[in-house]
Amino acid sequence: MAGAASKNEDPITAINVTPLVDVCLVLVIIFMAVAPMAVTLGIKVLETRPSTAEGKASVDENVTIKITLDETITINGVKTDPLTFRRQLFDALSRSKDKMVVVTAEAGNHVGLVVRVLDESRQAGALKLAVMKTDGVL
Amino acid sequence: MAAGSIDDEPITDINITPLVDVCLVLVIIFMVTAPMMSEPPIKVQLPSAHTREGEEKDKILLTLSKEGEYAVDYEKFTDPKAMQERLKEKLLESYSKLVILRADENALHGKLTDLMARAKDAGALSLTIATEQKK
Repeated sequence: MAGAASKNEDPITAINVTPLVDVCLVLVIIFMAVAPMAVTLGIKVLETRPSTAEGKASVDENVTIKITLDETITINGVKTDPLTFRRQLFDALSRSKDKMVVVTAEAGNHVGLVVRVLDESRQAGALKLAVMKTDGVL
Repeated sequence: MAAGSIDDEPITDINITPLVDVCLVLVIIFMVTAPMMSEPPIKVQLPSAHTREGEEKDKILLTLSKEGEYAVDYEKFTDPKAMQERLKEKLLESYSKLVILRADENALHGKLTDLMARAKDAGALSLTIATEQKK
């Protein structure tokens, strides 16, 4: 009896870790949920200019995609349509040595279309993507 | 004996200590995440793509609206030269020299390549075109 009484009279000096761990775990979960939202997703590109690329480009080394103002897409000079685009791109990439895609578009094209081509190229296995600077600055 | 009767009474008060704990934690979380969530001053509709490449470095956000307005992080510019000067200053302080181009999907390609060239001239080492994840 005396023992029990003296135990009850002792002040609690130990830190209660249960709520501390609770709060920490909640923090961890929240940061895990928020982290993907904070990362900006995108496509990494290189910037090239006609003067620097001239004479170097070869079909063996890289794939050249041209987009005209009427949204016609050519791969290494061969016209494509939405149905054959993927296969042609894949074939061209498999023949390319350094798996680089250079996209040239008109100044009047929309960014959305160019990004779609860049995305398809990456999905088809391109290792490097470059966007050619257009001459006509609007 | 009166003390005994007090102990037998049920606790009817709300224990506010855990409530305050949780509220303080929420306040801290919002303080930390608010800068991450803040959007640049120009609203843009990013092009959607399947490719997921993201780097959490000390990036500089370069925004281009479909009307042709620019923003360097949270500052809005209409003059490309002034924008390039500010970008140059920011890139000098940046360690990774990574620029994220947030171009509207309806913006003109000519404007984007001009922006890319300006960023490169200002000292950017790496350029990424921001996209939205395709569902």
